[in-house]
Amino acid sequence: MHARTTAALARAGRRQAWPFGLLLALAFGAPAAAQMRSYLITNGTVLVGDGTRIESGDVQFSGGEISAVGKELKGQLLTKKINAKGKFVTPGLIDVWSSVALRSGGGDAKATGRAIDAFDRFADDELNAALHSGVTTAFIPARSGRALGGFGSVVRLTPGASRADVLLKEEAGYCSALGDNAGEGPIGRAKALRELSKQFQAAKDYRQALEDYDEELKEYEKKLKEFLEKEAGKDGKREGESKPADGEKKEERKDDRKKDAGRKGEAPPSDGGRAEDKKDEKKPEGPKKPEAPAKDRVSEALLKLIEGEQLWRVEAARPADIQNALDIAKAFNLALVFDGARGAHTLAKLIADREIPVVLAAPDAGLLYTGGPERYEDPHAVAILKDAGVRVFLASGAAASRHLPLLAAQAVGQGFTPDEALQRLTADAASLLGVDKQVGKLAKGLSADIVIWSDHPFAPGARVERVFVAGREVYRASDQKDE
Amino acid sequence: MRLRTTALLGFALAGALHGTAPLAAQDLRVIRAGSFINADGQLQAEALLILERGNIKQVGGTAPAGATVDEYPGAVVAPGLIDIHAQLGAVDNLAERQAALQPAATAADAFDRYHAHLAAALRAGVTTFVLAPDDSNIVGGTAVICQTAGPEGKPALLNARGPLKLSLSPTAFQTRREPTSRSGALGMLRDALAAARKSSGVDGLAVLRGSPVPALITAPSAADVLALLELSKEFEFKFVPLHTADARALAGELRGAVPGVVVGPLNFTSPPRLTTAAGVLEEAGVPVAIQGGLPQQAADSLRTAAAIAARDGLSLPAARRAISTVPAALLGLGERLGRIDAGLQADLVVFSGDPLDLRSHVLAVYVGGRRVWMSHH
Repeated sequence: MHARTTAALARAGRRQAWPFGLLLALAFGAPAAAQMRSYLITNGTVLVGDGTRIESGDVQFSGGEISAVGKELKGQLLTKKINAKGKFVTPGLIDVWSSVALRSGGGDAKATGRAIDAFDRFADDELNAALHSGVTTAFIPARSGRALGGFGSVVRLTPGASRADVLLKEEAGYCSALGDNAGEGPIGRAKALRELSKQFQAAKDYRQALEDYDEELKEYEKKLKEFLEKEAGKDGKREGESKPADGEKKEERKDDRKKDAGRKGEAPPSDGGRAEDKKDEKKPEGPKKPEAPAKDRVSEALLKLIEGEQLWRVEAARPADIQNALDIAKAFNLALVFDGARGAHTLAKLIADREIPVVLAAPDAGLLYTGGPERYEDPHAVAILKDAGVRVFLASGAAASRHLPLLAAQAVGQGFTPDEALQRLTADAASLLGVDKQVGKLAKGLSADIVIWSDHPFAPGARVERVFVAGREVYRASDQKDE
Repeated sequence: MRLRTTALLGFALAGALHGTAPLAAQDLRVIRAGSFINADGQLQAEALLILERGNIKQVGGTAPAGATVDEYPGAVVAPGLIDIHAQLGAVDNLAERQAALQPAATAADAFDRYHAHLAAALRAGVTTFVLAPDDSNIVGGTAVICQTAGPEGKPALLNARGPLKLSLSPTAFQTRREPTSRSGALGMLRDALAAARKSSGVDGLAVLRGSPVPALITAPSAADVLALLELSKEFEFKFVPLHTADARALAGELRGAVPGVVVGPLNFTSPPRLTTAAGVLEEAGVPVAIQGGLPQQAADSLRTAAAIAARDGLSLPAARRAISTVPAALLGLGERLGRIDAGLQADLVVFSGDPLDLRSHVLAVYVGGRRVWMSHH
């Protein structure tokens, strides 16, 4: 009976196997298919991100990349069409300075940490709140409050993604916070500045030490080669004078002589032979190997700044700190970017002349005078800086990326044109962060980070309806139905 | 001597005649703009407002001949913004902390009409605000309703008998005097209300019962609001909760139980549970007023707060009403301020666009029919 049941089960199993197999295939195939899925957004007002606007425009993307942007595009087979009539289509917004999903820290004790390690990619609430405002990419700083903070990173705001998918650029700028230690007083600030200068100088010295070491190493290797050759040559010469066979023969002759002497009754010859003498001779010393300089990770990090590989992103608490940063940047030729420089508008001309970008978050300016550094805040800072010719960016700063479109709208009220403001959140932001080959524009070959809005992003009632990151839908407003 | 007397008499007569001259067309003032905010909070095209003797005489129609017409092409005329809870010009002067019950106190005594912040608020479009005692006392005293520009063009009191201000905020629980805890606070409040019911006094608590103007009460948690709902039923008074962190959770219970809720202050760092509260309350049918954060926040914090709430769920008309019509109604001034409608006081702000659009800015401010400020852009 046991055998019969088994056989019966086996038959039953085979009959049910193929639908089950099909289900399995679909289950595994479907997400993969969704990844590869091709979309065509049609008839929307397309804002490319570099100032271009396409009325009744189409955007096509598949496999994570944008394949075409234009008018009257033809969809391919199995393309899902999205009707965007009456809606606006923009690239995902880029927040060039944000604390979204950033947990405390972001820089280890040695000031060489990376912000990505403090980024909580499981903070779905915060990530969704950012996507709800159309923000798909953010630069998260290594916020430490210290002069040497660590490397900031550029991340994609995608809930539930792997670290590799989230990380767009691991080292996207070195973060410093100047003057953040309240209550230090002017002496404390001057000390901190001197310390910072010393660190940069130490980095330069370290580079010099490494270069010297390289030179010395080459010298050493050359000398070592010569020495070895010389040694080999010397040994060869000695060998030529008393070849081993001769030496043996000599020993034999010596023994013979001894034997002869013994037979003859004479004392053996006294000299031990020149061989012993040679063994006692001191071996010549080779060249000394140079010592490598101790590994200095902080200097290695700062060298990336000095050599222009990384931006230096400075949070300055007040105008004096801004000037300190400008001085250090000039002395060491650093590519400086101010993040939320409080009081920058008082130094607008200076900053404009040095062509340093300034990233501003919402001003903390109340009407009350507090006596702290807040007194340098000015609600018109954006306008003043822009008028002086400074390249101003708008970002969230200490807040999560929830109100970026509103901040941008405020900036428009202060002298930006709407197109300029949008560009600062897309193409210009991508250039600043060095990720313009991947994001920032609706253009062929770039990542399909796309947002569909119910109205122009800066209009009061505008709502984000759908968000795609790398070609996958990551956010949909609750009132959006599938077509 | 005769000449001087005649001259004096002549001047006096001229003065008397001037005061009693009949109304001429040039006393009318007309505002013409692109659109205006109507009583429902909607943007309505073709704004033509005829102002007469401080009030809105007519909305729409044609401008009478000979009247002064102020043109604002493409602009939006809004009712003067009303901040239902501010401490303009009087921070730190708004409480006598010796005793937690101060029903006889009034914020009128702390009103500093020469303070520079009042002018800053005016330039941001705030024409009326409630100067309320702060949260240091359970019963803070009577709030007063002020205008940032009165009949003389200077800040003035509009109504010294504003709403009563109470607070269940933790700042009212102090170690040096009663109450030191919420249960103590509620006990004190209950006793005070019972005593006021029996007495025939005229202080804030005594007149609270049956007053058409609801009290403003800081109620940080849902438990505070529920306790107050009980008290309000027992002692027959109306109240409006402020600064409630869990307002969202209570939306259903508050409908019909309170005349409205005050949301705010909101800024760009406020958490979602605060910024989405207004939208949730609107959906539940509870009238929403939004307060600014003056003077701790910037001068335009009132309309920024409305814009933030609008982005997070509050409908645009409700957001516009939340900083004008609803506060006026909650203060018992619904027939005088807060709307653009015939018969109401001509407190108006002209914005270059929708006030909820942060791209726009203030072009001009009118109080009582007089233009008290104009932008130079």
